[in-house]
Amino acid sequence: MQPDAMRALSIQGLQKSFVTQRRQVVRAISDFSLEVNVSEVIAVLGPSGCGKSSLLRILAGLDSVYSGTIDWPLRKSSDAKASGLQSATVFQSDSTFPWMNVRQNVIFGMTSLKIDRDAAAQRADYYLKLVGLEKFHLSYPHELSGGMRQRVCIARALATEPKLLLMDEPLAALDAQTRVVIQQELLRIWLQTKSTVIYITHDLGEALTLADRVVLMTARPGRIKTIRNIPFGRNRDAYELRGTPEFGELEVDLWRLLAEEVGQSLVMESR
Amino acid sequence: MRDATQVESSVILEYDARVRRRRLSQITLGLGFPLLLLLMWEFAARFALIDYRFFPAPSTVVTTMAHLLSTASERNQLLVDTWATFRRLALGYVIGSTLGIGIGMAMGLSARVRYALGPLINITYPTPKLALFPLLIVLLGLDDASKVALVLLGVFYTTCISTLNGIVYSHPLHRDVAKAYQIPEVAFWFRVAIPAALPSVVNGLKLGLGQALILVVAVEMVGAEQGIGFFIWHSWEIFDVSRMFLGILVALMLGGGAMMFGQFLERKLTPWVRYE
Repeated sequence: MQPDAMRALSIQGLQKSFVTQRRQVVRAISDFSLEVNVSEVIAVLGPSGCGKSSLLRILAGLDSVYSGTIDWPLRKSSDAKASGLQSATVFQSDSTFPWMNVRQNVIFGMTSLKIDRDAAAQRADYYLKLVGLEKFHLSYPHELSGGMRQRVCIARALATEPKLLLMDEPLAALDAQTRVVIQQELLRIWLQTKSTVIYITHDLGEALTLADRVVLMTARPGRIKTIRNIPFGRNRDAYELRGTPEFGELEVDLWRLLAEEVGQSLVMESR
Repeated sequence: MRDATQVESSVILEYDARVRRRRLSQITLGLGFPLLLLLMWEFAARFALIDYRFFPAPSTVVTTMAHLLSTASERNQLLVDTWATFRRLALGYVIGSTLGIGIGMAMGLSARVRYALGPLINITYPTPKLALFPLLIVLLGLDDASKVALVLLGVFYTTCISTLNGIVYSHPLHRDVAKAYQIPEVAFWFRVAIPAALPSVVNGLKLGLGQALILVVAVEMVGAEQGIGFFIWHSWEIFDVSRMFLGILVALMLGGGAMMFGQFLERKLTPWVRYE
């Protein structure tokens, strides 16, 4: 296998600046370079305002004003729109459409794909089953809990069979118990779908639980402070993992680095 | 097992009783308070605390109304007038809201249309529509057309502006989702932007009903030979106060019908909006 064929995404020297209303230039991301392999789960971790959401918006195609290059080697090999999107995004807050039922929400995500209705419907049912919502396909979002709605969004993203799955703190709005349950589900789903994932989070434990590599960003302007390999393999258990000494060591280690960025105030909060 | 079902059924019974009690107090208060006011009015008229020439006792009003309605010519007159008002109202409302929603959508979905029409609509919106009535007569004549046009104008502005706002101020996250999933433009309009704006559109439609009713009655008082506004004004001029109240009652019923229509629209078009 050629090394290049394994590459899902290559980011070189990404820079992002904003102009504020007072006409001041704020640098959100500075000199960010990262290579992402196929089926790899990358967690991007950093203090608030470090530009991690800006990074995600750029990758999701929501922001095209940046400098640097973003290369999708897989795009060249096949028509990206044929049966899967280049990237699909799960947002932080509930992004279901309230006027569509669960199934319509999932099918709507596949609108731009060149697949027929039946195939789309089948895919929707398959992924709804994967996130455990097969019995709710005719329900409307307001009839579901927050966690279930977020799982609809996850199914919508998975159903597009994206080259890259982008997740912007998708579990931040959920309560702690639901979060761990869905983390475990994500691990199970990714094992099945072999998704390539960029997972934005400010939760260190979550990053360690889910990722193959954790990218730690500095405070604004966001640069890569360090990249840490997480040696737990893909076939892991979100509950058991937390009790292991390796997990604890990595957590302490990364906390120190993160705390330098976040500042003394957050160190106090974390105790 | 039996205990559990017994407990369950007693919980349900208790719930039903609570619902029934609440509904009972809703109905008694909702009907009772207006009745109390009527009673006070009756009392005040009978004891000449208010001028009974302008405010005859409700009982007097009701008997006179019954008398009026038993005469075929009066009954016909009332029907003709109600129909005239309803026709103007319906015509102006349907055309006005169609134009308003259509143009509001075009403005919401296209920045260029918005830039072109926005200033014009925003500047002309606060004009009292009645002030334009003489002009409309010059343009459209003394017949129904000018009255329908006035209703149309009133409805147009409320629906246009609320449709525009509904689209422009809809959840930015919905746009992000559409963009991130590369949803084609037309699909975005019909499946995202327009449904997202619907609650605001429906609100505009409801506000437009009130607006339309005010305008039609007012304009019929000023210059019409038919219609409920004319009926009320004419009764007042010949000093037939009970007849005037009959007209007001019909106007009230038109308003009530309009409100029910608005609620029907809301339930039909935006079932996902939860309201209490």
